[in-house]
Amino acid sequence: MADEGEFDAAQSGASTTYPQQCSALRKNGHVMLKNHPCKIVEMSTSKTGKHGHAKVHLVGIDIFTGKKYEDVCPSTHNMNVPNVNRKDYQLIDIADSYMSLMDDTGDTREDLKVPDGDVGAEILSRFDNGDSFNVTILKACDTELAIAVKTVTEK
Amino acid sequence: MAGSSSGAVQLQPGQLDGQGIDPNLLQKLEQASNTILASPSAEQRHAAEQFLLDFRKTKNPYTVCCCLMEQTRNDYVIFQCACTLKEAILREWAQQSPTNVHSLRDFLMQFVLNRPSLPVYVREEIVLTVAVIVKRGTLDSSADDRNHFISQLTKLIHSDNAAARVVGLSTLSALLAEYGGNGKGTDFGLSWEFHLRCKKVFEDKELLTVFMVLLEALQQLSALEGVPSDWETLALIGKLLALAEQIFTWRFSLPLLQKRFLNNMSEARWNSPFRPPSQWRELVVGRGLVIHLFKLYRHVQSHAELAHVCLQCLLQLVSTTGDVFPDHKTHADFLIPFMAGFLHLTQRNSLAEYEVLGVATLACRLLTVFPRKYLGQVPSDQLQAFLTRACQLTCSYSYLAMHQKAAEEESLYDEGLEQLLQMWTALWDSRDSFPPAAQLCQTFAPDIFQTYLQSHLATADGTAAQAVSSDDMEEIRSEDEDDRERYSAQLCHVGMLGRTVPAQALSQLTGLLCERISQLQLELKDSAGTQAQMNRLYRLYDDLHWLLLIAGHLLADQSEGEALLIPTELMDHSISQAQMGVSEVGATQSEMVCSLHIDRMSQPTSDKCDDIVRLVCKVFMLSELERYAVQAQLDPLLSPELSRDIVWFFQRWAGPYLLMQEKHYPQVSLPLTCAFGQGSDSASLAVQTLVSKVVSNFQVWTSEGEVTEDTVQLLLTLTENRDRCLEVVKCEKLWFLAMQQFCEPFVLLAANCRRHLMKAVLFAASAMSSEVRARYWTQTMQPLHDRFQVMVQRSRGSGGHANLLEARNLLELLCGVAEASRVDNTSLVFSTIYPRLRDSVGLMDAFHNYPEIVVLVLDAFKETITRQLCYLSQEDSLKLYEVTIQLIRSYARHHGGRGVTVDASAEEDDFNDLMLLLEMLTQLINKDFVDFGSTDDGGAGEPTVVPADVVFCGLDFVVPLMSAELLKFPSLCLQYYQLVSLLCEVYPERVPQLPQRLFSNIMASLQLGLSSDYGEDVQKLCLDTLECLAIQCVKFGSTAGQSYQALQHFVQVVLDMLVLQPLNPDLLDVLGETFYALICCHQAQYAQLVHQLVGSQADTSTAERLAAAFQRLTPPDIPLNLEKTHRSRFEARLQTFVMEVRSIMTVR
Repeated sequence: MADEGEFDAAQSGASTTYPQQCSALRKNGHVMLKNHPCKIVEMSTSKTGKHGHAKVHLVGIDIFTGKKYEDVCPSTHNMNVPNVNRKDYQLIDIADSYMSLMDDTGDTREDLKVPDGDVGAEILSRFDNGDSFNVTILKACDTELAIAVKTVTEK
Repeated sequence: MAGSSSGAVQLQPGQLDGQGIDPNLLQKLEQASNTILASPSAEQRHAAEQFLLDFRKTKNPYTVCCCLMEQTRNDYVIFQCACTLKEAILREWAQQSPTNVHSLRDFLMQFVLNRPSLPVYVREEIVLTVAVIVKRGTLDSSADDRNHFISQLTKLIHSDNAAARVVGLSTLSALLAEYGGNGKGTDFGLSWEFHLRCKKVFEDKELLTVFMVLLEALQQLSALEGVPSDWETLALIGKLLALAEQIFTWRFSLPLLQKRFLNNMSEARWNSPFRPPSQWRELVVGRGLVIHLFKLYRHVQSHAELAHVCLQCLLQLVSTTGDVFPDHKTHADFLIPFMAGFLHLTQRNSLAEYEVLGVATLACRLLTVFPRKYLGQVPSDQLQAFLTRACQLTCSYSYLAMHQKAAEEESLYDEGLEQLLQMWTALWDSRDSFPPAAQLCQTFAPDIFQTYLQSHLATADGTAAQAVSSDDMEEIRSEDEDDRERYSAQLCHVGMLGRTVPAQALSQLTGLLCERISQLQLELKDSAGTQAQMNRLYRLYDDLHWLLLIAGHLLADQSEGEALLIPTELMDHSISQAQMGVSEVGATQSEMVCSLHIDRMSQPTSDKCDDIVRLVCKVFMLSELERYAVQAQLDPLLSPELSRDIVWFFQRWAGPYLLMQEKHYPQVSLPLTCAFGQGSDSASLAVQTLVSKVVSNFQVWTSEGEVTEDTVQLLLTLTENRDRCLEVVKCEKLWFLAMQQFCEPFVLLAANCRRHLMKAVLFAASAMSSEVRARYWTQTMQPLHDRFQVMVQRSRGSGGHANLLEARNLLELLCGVAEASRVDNTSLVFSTIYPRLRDSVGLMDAFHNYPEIVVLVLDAFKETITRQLCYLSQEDSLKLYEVTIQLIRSYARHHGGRGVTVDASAEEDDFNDLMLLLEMLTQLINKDFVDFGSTDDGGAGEPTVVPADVVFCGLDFVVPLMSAELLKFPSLCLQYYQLVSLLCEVYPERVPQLPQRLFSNIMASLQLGLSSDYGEDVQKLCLDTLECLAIQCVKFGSTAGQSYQALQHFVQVVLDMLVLQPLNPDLLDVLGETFYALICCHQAQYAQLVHQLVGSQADTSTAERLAAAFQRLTPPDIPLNLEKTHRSRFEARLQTFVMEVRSIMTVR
């Protein structure tokens, strides 16, 4: 795990998105729709007339705000795909609704807020219970958000 | 009804309700009725409804209701009174004297006859009440009484008064509905036995009388001069037809079929054929019933609703079977007027829309329902006339189907056309039992085939031009059915019809294809790309599209599993052409070779070429033309749909024709074998051309998922078969494809396509000699290996997104490798895949936060286990078990302990990982079931790990996750129960030893499976599971232990399913087996439950009969054990038992 820091360092400054041909996208994968990083919840193709060429219809949910976006484009075109990263941290403390998080290597950070909604509520209640647990942080387009809670199991 | 009036209802003073009659009752009732009919507020409505409901519960309401009905002018009040009377008479039947009942019945009849202007709903409710009264008395009163009543109805129907006739018919209708209701009639609160006995009595005595009345009335009405237009006559006809339909759909009781009896108790699932007893013969066949119905149809054909019912009657009548037809003469006597009637019915120029489907179905049934060997009994000129008409209809439907499409989503004519085409296929198939059928079919086939073709062509000689242009630019979604699926039945029939006249069909298709190809060539040469040109091209593409679809269906059939053969008709045609010298081998071969070289395409074609080969050659020309257009970068002008059609055609054709197996045919055609057969140069050339086409399609149409899918299917057809594969591996293009599949553009292909491509690449390897394969391997599989190594190195411990794409790509290819497993390449595939599976466990760890990767890893394991495990040697199996255990542990480490939350928006997709895990575990168990693997050297002794270890390891993790919420997803649910059931079947001795929590979880899920509406399959699986566990207990005489204890509860559950809950007859067998095993295991519990059930009956006679039924089911002198004879005898007894007990206990 020692090289993970280097790995991340190598990534910083890299583009937050990369292009991919529309037809190679998948349902449950990610794509930028109207400049928002989205999870693809619906993907279908259509064509104009029986002998027309395929177009791809995409419906996505913004991974941070939950808003819905749609787009249509010819299947040969490229779309931008966000680099999406998920990382587990151990929750150490909560202060002023900021989480204190520690990763596998022992590095800590205090720059992320407890999110709104169900996940946030679960974090708070389990923290109040004194549980020991991990929080999964989703990162894309320079934004980060806690999206899941996991019980720590022995490795 | 003679001499009855309200005064006739004599009630004894003591029966009067103690409270007397509220003098304001009528007023209140009218008020409440008016309120309900005048769109009231919710509150007012509720109050009014409550008042009426209370009124309905009035005790002894007979005098009151009769008076009210006489006094009021409010129809709704009359309706309420009728309802009240109906409910009261059923409730208080036992207290009523027969005289009272009779006077009530007669009062109601008289009432309705005296008021011809009553609204229909009121009239129907009153006659329904009458019908209920009559039926309720069936088993008490003598037959004379009922006979008398029916003969009075008959008199009504024969009277001159139209209103009275309608009342008579309505009452008969109501009687039929009540007696034959199959559970749809009024709720009597009585046992099923009562209903069935009533039905039988009515069926034996009165139904025939009713039928006679109907026949006479029919005769009378059909004899009318001219078309009736007054509403009274039309209403009468409507009633009559409704009654006829009721009779023709009557399900006659058959005493010996117990299953059918049970079916009767459940809802009628489909219209069964009309199967009257033999006594009906004279009336059904001998009295012109069919003729009268057709005559009547003429009177009503302009009234959509009446015409529809009349057609339905005819359609149901044409299904008549059974004892009424003792010989073929009677059959023919019935069939002949039907054909005559059909001819008469269809002699008009056009049919109304509501007739389209009915008429076509009638024609189809005439030839499909009757045994076709009796066709010989039909005078040949009549048969000829019938077929001529059917041919005209087929052609006109075929035209209209294309032209009506724009107007309606689902074309009526398409459905009708399918029926008519099915009729022709049936005729052709009957040529063995009725030899003239062949020739008759051949007389009409050319017309039909040609019309069908023309209806689908948009340009010059076609008629579809206007039809097509309107939907040129319609948006078509990929989920919509394409023509191949939507018209598959039609196309199969048309292809079959074409085969009956192969010479015409083949030459027509070839000619049209040839023309369109030249036109396309011209258009593409001068490619301006203007809108006008695009329109022309679109028409051309659509013509070619249909020509290819029809040609493909003409040349070959599609079937799963069976060896694909060249249709006999075509083989015979080719042979006879060659024998007559019409075709020659040399000319055929050179034609084939020419079509594979575009520069030689313009060479004049020889007319000595075989018909089939020539048609195929044209498609090769088209395909090459397309490929050259692509190279000239004209792809924006091309049609992806046409590309699909071309590869689809090749795939369909290649199955039976390409490198054909001569040994499959009694005789083969020389030109065909020389062009397509083993060892022919043109066949290997064709293979090469096809492989190049595949590569070209992948490159050009990368982003057209449908094209690449059809293309990869062609590649699979080529590589799956060993003979063809031997040719494929000689192609350089294959090597190119195999090496390049890691690079663009091939990495951009859709996921499924990439898997299939990998599969084909591996199939190819299986056909290579070992030294060639070694070279091929280094060039194709080594890169996969290397890339995996790099990936694993880079991603160790972290799931960086740069690796995500690569991981996805590689895992998809790995799934393709797994899918390629076959019995003949096991060791090759395993040695490739095993090290990668080990790597994948690491990937799973690194990417555990990325569901798409987790799913792919599980998929690769599942595919390997499904397709490989049963062929693996013991040593290899062990390796696979070990790595699978590692996988499960890794998965559990990251996903266990959190439970699975199912939120409202969750879809089954979201649980793909669990689904795959369940499938994987199920497949693992199969290894203990089916194992073809060698056991190595025998000296290895007992293996250290057996599949059960892996399965139980997975089970421990997965069972607690399967919550009721998750089981709501149907496939997940089915898969889980399959796993549990297989587990208990294969490891009955280990399951009871499971840890207590796991075991009780499983048992709880069985209870859930039986009591929830997860469907028949799940219930079956649960019952099977219980049976296995019970048998295990009995075998080892367990009287303790968790399994024994848990099963005790299920004795009652299964007993309830057998006797109390709605029964699905298809489950009866498995319920019986399970129940037997359970009571063998828990005899004391069974005895106690029987005692309880019998004791809980309020009625002593019911209790006695119930006890007796149990006595017969499990006689005390027969031991309850698992001996085969005892088991099977029990099952026979159980059928009788269930029938008996249910008819006592089910109440309606």
